[in-house]
Amino acid sequence: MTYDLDRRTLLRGGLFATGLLAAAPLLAACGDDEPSTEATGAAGAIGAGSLRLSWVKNVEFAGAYIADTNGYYKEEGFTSFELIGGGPTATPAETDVVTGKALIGISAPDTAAAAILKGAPIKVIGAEFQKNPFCILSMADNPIKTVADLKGKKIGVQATNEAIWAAFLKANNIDPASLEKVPVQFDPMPLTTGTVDGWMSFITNEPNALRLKGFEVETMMFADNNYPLVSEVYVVKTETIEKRRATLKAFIRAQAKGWKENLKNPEIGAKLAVEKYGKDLGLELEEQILESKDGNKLILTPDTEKNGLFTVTPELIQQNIETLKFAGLEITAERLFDLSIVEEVYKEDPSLV
Amino acid sequence: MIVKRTAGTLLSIGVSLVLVVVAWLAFIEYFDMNPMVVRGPSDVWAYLFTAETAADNRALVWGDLTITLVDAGFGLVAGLVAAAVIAMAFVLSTAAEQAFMPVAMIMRSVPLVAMTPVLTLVFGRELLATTIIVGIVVFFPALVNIVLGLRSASPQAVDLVAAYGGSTWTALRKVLIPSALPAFFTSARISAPGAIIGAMLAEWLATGKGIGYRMLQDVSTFESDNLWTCVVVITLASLVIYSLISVVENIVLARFGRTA
Repeated sequence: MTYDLDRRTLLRGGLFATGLLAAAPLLAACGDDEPSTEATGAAGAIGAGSLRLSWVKNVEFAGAYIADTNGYYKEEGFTSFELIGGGPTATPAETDVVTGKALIGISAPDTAAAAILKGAPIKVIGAEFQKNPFCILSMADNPIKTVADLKGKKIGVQATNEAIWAAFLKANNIDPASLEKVPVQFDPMPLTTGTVDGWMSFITNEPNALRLKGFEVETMMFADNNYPLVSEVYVVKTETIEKRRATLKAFIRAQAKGWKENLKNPEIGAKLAVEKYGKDLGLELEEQILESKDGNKLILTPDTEKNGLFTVTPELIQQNIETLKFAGLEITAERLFDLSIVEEVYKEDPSLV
Repeated sequence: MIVKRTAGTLLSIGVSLVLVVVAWLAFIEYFDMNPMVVRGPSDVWAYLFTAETAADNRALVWGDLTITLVDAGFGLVAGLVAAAVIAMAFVLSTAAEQAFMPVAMIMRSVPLVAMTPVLTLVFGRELLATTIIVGIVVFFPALVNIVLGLRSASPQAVDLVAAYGGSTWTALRKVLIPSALPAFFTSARISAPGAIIGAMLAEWLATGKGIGYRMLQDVSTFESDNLWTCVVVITLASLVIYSLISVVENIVLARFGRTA
């Protein structure tokens, strides 16, 4: 961007400014596709929906793939439903939600809290993962087993996880200067070649991928190291909570139906990820099945079995808020969470639990 | 003469700056951009000078800028020197050109974003890697330009050197290089912003330092003030470097009695 800007400005002077203004309506036309109609709940009347995923389209979002493939979003009244992929350098889901690019975003409470503290009008309305899935992955012959082992190591961190990484270090009282952060992307190859000693990832993803390739790996869970947060949370604008409750309820119902299928048979989601949604990612079925099973364990806990998927107990909310406080994110439960929509869904239809 | 040209350069920069700021303000005003992601010139000014944390902010931005300028500077010099040396080899020997040109073309046609991860495996993630990545950005356009410049030398002048018993080396030194100077400086000028882009790319994909990575980090931590300030600062830095090279160019060309 800057490159073009300078050069053209200098070479063409005023022409550039005129060009920019002339091109502007085109830019605007592609930016805004926020659904504008609100519905009162009847099927077929809530318009289009969209969900911004927190990562590339792998099995992590099995519930959404099943809901889409089996038509659960349509059954609940969405005229269409778009799944928008993320990735190691994508903008945070919060930004897409705030700017109206997506109705709902999947993110993490720490990222959401950071956004809210910077003025984003958003809230978390539910959580898929009850346990923090982030871990530091390392090779078994150069293991990182405790936070003390991090000292002096090179750790690969994806730009998209920066907010979480910073909060994790703070929660554990680790000086960021005591280790070296290396920017990495999607493929954990730099770990196997020794370019980095540790790799930030979901416990479900890269560890399984490397194990299947025959590497011996070690993992250190964030959840076991002063960082017990829920994850894969649904983030929406507060305005959507106020004005489009029916739409959000429809979404929760569709997600719950989709995930229930995957909990019963984790291979369905894995197959959809490999063959349909993440087709161009070159995913391997065997690895995705492992990941699907691991993901299910993070979703289905005694609490969610009793209260319904995506619910978060008041105790767990309190624990999250305290963890965030240690991580330097001072936020109240009311400002970050609003679980009333999920609770209403299960109250209205207890058979979904 | 030099003074007049320099003043002209400065004036055109001033005009461009005003136009950019006007376009920037108009853009925000006209499109009603979300305040979460967009910042205006006054926000950047406040971030750098009037906010409570202004001193810390300046230190942060300055620290990142220095890293990026060092990365870009090493690469720019390395790329230009390599381009100049190889351009001379091309002019002196057609065989060298035929042998090397395809390699240069390959370096140019593989997208750097795709090549960088491989380069980091070979050259690591330190200054060497950024120098090479930036060097590649600078090298090819400079090479083509400088070869053209060297070839633009007057054949009569070259013949004259030969007629008086001068060697090819003398012809190169006395005729070809002075003829190529305008082309060399043009390459340097257009390469400077390119070098900064290359440096930021290397920082994004390899080193994780400097403005290139800071901007990426800002996006995921919602630091829009810092993000927009980085954009402004790096734009100004490109402008300044471009103008500095123009000034040097004016002085050198005046010394060689050319007005290019």
